[in-house]
Amino acid sequence: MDLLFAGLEQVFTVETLSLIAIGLIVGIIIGAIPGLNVPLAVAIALPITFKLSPIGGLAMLVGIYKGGTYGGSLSAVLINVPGTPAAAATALDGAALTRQGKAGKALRMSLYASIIAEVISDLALILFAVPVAAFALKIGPPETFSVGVFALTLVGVLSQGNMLKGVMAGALGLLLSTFGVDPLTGDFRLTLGFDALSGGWSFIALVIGVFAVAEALVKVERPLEKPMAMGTVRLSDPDHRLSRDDWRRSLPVITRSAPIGVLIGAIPGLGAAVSAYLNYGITRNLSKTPERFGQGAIEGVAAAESGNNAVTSATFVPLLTLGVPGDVITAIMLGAFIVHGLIPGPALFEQNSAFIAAFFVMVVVTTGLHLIIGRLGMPLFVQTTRISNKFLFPAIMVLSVTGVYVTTNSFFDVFTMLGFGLLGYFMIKCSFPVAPLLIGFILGPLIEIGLRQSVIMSRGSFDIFLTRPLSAAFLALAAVSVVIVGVREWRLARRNTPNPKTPEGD
Amino acid sequence: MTSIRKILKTLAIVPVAMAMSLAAAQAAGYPSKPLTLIVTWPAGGSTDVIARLLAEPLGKELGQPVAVVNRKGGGGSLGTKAALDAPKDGYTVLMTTSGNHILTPLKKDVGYRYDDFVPIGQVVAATLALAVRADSPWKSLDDMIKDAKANPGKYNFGGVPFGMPHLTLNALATEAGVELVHIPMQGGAPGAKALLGGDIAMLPANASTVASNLKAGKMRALAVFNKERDPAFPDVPTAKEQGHPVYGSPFVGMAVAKGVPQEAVDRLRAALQKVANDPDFQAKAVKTATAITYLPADDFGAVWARDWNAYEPVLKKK
Repeated sequence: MDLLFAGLEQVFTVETLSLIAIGLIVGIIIGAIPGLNVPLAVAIALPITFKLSPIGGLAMLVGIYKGGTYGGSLSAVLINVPGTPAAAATALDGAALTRQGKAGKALRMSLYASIIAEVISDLALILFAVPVAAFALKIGPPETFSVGVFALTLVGVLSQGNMLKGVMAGALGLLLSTFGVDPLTGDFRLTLGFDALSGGWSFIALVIGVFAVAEALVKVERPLEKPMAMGTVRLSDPDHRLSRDDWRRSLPVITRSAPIGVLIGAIPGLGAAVSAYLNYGITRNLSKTPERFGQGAIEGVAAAESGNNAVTSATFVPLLTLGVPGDVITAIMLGAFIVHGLIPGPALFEQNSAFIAAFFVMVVVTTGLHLIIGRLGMPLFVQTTRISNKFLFPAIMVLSVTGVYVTTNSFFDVFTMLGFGLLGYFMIKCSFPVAPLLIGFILGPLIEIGLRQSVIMSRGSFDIFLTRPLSAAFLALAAVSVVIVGVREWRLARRNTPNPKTPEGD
Repeated sequence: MTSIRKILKTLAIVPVAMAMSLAAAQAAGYPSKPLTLIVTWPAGGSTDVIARLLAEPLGKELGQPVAVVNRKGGGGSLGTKAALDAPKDGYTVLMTTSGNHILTPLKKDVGYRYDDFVPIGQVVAATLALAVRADSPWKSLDDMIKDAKANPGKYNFGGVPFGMPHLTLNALATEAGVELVHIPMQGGAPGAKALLGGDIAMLPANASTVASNLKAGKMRALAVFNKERDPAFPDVPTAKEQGHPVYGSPFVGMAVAKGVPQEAVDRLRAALQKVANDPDFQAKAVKTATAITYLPADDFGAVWARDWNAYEPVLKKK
């Protein structure tokens, strides 16, 4: 109890509170801007924290992390360009709602779903860190492989009605993920003679290219299009509010997605994007009205956003209890602990309860401030829909090019981004869904590494995937998922055949 | 409150510093503009942390700010190549490590060799430890070796493929005549998770990666692969003490491309020597579980040649 009060004392100072607020605001803005990304923001802010108190510095980074993970949804909803990879699933239904003039509804849901998920994630970190970490340790290579396969089966769900094209896009993503260093031997492969490709295709260039650049190219075709909204957008309009029915659809989804997101966050190497897609896919598979998804289903927004923000505190579980960062961002934050002589891991967790208590208090306070700042900012964010495309998309192009260059310091990656932009443009033009490409790219290494590590562990036998119970369970889920998705898509396709689907972007 | 004031003060210094650097640029002599310190590994990693700790005092010493830039990828070769291709004016400095400097160019032709660079000085020689779970029956290196001899090919260990920990444990296995199976890992941290989760039986790793687990008693170190015991882990015997003279110690240091004017090289060497021997800087570094093991330029160059020759036969064979 004393520790809790000591923690409160450390966090409720003007310094720490303002650092959290700064972190959240910076995070939301960076997350929302396609081209700038959260790992970059955390890396840039990292040296600043070296001069601050440990809790103050971490408070700012956690603020950026939570704000940024949420901020990606703003641009996903408002302009159909996910600000972060994890928000790509949010765009599917969020942007559809905006097109229907219901942007406020989607924005509200993405904020509230994010916050509820963060609260659940915070509680899991504080109350169940040790058991959750014990679960994460059960996820060895065979389980990673099986989870990856399960997640991959949900690609069909994200295909927006054209499963074959979705699967093709997913396969292309898998293929692209194999370029660069062979993760198991360290040999270079598929570098096409470019030194710059020895690290593989830049993830950030891929994301910005297929989403931001491609969307800009599509918009360029219609130069005189009016902005989506004329006049001030009033959030108090009924179309921008969440109805009782919206909550009835979304609450059960959030309470399911958040715990799944927590577990995904606790398993090192998966991360927010996997959680968002997985939860979106599961939610659509379990829905009685799957045809609404992609057309503005509010529970789609809820699933994706609670899925990605549930990861944000859970990634600290393996960092604090095992000394292993949960994702890219916590790996960068590791530096902020270490530079103050706090080496995350069981010794810190068990022996420095004063710091841990203060850290927990700080994480909870950050969630609270996130709600306040997010809600206060909403009337501002929603006005984006009033900006004419002829201003909006050139600005996005500038940010994309500078963002990629700042992140990677490489012109090769800038051209890569433009190339992926063209690829994305043609995919959209030919009604290929883009999200499966990204999922394939993210899941490819997980599946490959999991598969090859497992087979070395079992000395060449594939039985290991079935004899380890968790792995077998995930593979069974994958099989069920394939059947459900297959049957549903077949039915939907049959229902749609009499009147052929109008191509997207009509 | 004081810290806020500190931030504001720091911010206020920026324009002043910029004006000062302009003034300095007009005066002749190196350095007359900010320097770039290239880190070939991601932000937040152990090399990055030490580079960022160094950047500030080094900047003070040189009278010019030093900016840390992360250029990761290709086993560290992309950043190393960037340092080599930069104008040879002494304003681009490479934070170099065994990985990007020795192991990567030995594995594949990446367009440079270790001697394309001029050493400035070694900053860190990391300790490699062989860790096992706390519930492992092995209490010493001999326990492990006896068990592994009786059960050839039974035990797994983890490590980044052909990283220093992997190569060092391979050397131990060859020396002791045992057969261990390597499970490739994507880094030290995933290796630690695999050890705790029971997927591997032992983990050769940078001691700082497993320090917290060692301190908390979740893992036990069977040996360190240094010539002497590491003062941070005085109870852990060296491999040599246990009858297996196997060594491995990844370095971190500074280098510039060959062709940089001698004036700049000398200035950097003097500045690094001063900073690395500053007790204040050393104390800061120790807190991050990294003891500073400074070596002057010539000795650091000798380490390069030694490691290059030691690992060439192993890696070229592949």
